[in-house]
Amino acid sequence: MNTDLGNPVPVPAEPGGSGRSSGVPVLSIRDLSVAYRTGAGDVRAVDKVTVDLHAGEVVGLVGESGSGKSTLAYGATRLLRAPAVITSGTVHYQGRRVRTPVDVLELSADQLVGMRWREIAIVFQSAMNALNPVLNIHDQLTDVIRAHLPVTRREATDKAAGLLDLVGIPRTRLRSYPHELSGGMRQRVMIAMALAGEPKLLVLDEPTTALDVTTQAQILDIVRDLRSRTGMAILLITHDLGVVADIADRIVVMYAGAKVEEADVYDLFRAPRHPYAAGLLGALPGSAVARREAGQLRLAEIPGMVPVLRAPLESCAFAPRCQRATDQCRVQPPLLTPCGPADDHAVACFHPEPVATVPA
Amino acid sequence: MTGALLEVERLTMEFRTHRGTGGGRVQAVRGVSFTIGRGEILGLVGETGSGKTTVGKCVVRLLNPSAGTVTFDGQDITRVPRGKLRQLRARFQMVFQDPYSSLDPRMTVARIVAEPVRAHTADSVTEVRAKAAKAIERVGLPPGVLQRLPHELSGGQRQRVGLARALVLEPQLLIADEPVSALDVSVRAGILNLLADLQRSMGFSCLFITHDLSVAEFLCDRVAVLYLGEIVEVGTRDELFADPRHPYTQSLLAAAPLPDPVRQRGRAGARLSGEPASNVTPPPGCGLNPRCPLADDRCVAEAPAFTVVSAFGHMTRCHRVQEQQSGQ
Repeated sequence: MNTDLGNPVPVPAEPGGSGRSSGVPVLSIRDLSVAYRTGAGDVRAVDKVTVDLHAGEVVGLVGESGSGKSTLAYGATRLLRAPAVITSGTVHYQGRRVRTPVDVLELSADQLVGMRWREIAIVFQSAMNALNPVLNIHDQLTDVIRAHLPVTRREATDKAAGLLDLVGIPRTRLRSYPHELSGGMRQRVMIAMALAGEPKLLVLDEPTTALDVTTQAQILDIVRDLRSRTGMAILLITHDLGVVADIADRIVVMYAGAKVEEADVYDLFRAPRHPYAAGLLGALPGSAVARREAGQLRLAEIPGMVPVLRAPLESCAFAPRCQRATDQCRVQPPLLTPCGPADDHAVACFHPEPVATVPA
Repeated sequence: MTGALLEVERLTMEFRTHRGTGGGRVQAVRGVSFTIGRGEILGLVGETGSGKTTVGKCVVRLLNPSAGTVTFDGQDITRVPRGKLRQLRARFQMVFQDPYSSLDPRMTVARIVAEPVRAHTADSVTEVRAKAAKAIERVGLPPGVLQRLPHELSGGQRQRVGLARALVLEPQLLIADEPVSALDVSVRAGILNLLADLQRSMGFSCLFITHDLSVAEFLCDRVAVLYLGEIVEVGTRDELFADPRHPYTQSLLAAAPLPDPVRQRGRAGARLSGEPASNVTPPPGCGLNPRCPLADDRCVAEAPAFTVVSAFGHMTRCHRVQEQQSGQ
C-alpha cells in the first residue's frame, strides 16, 4: 500500500457490537441550530442537535427529505452559505494533528482550509457528477493531493494510485476521463479523493443513492473496509434504512430538524421507540411472507407532511401526524431522554413505547 | 376474449449510436417475451441499462420496436395505424417516475386530470369535470386540489395526480415506470397501498417497472427480472423471492440490504464482480457470463434457453439450472 492510510488507529473489533471506541469523540456537535433566513422570518432547519462521532465508528444519520440531516452535517463542517446561518451550538473537533479540541464554528477561513481534507472530508450527494469532465482521474486526484499535502508531482502520482487501490479501481484507470467510468466507479473516485488528506472524519452524503443495488453493495464494502483499516469516524447521511442496517454502528433519526431518536443500530431496528422511527420502519415493504404471517398486508403510512418550522415549538413537531399524541404532546415539546437498558439509547417522545418490527 | 391482456413476443429494440462513438447499435431490449393476465400486476425488475423503461415505452408504442410484437387485447399494436393506435391508447395509460416533470406546471390539477378525457371522449364539460373530480377522489386527494397548480403540491400528492390522470379513463392496462422511486419511504408507502387498493377495486392489469425488489415483492403478482435487455427469470412473486434460481436474481436479492441489521449482517456476501457489459457489444452466450461465478465455456458459447422450474410457470435462463433440472 502506497498510502499512510495503511497506518491505522487501533480500533477494537467487537464482533456483533458497535465499533465505538471510548474516549474523546473526533467530532462533538452540541446543541447545533441552523436557520434559513427568509423574508418571512427564520425557518429552523436544524434544532439544537447533539451528536458525537467517535473514531472507528459509522453513524447513520437518517431522515426523509427536509429532515435537516444534510444541513446538520454541512453546518457542523462550516459549509453552509447564506441564507443558512448557524444560530447556536458548538462543534468541537479533536483529531490527529489537532490534539486539543477546537470549536470548528470559531475557526477562521484560513484555519478551515487547514482542516478540510486533512481532518474532515466530505463526499457530497451526487458527487460522482462533480468530476471535471475535461481532466483525467490522475490530474483530478493529484490536484487535490498537491493542494493539501507537501509532496512532489511524482509522490502525488504514487499517492493517487494508492488511493485507487483503496477503493478497488485498477490503476490503469488513472488515465481515464470521467465519462469513461460508470457511476459506481466515479463515486469511488470521489471517495478516493476525499481520502487524499487522510482525514479523521469522513462525511458521506447519500453515497449510494443514485446507484444500482449491486454497485451500492460494492461501495458499502469499501466503506466497511475503510472504517476497519483507517479507524476514521464516518458520518453516513442516508434516507435508506437498509444501508444503515448494513453498515452503521449507531443511528440518529432526525425529524423536522431535531434528533428524535438515537440508538445502537441493533436496538433501533429491533424496537424503535419514537413513533416516527417506528413509522419509517413500518413503511418499508420487507418480506411479503413475513407480512402475511404478521397479518400486515398494508404498509404503514405516516399521514400528513413534515412541518415548516418558523415559530419556536410549543408542541412535539410530530404530534399532528402521530397516533400516540396526547394533550401533553400538543402543549410541550418533548426533550431527548435516555431510555431502555443501554445508556446510549435516547428518544424525544412522551410515549416512547418500543414497537416490535416485522422481520425484513 | 380470454387469456392474457398483453402478450409481448420477442420484443427487440435497437438504438443507433452517434457515428463518432463507432456507429454501433445499442441493443437495449433483446428478444423479450412475457404476458400479463387480466387483473394481474407484473413487475419488471432490473438495474440501470437493463432495458426496463424501453420495454415499457415499446408496450405503449412511445417507441417503435425494431422487432417483435406487442399484442394488446388481441391486436398487435406495433402494426396498427396511427388513428387506431390513438383509440387503443385510451385503454392503456402510463404513470411516470418523476412527479415534478411529468405534470405541466401551468395547468391546474383539474385540467391535467381532465386532459385524457377531453382527448379521448366527446364528453360534455360537465361530464369531464365530474370524471376528473371522481378520479381525484379515487386517489385519496381532497377536491380542493383540483384548483391547484402542481408546484403547490407535495411529491406524493403530485404522484397521486399522475395516477388520477392515468386512471381517469378506467384503462385496462397501467404502465407504471418507477412511480415511487422519487418519493420518501413514508410517502411511498401511501402510493403503494393506493396502487394495490385501486388495482383491486378497478381490476386493471399493470406493468410495474422498478429497480426496487422490495417494492416489486410488495405489489406484484409475478415478477420478471431483466438483465442486459433480456429476461433472465420470471415467476410468481412467492416463488421468485423464496427460491430465486438465476445467479443474477440471486445476487440482486443478496445485494439489496435488508432493513434488519441482524439478518443483513448474517448474510453470505456473494457479490457480483464488475459491472454489466455494454449494450453495444453484449457478450456472446449468456449476458451474465463475464460476471457470473458459475460461468463455464458453455455459457460463453451458447445462450441459455428458458428452463421451467416449477408447475406455476417459474422459468429461468441458465445452463447451470438446466443441468440441475435434467440431472434430477
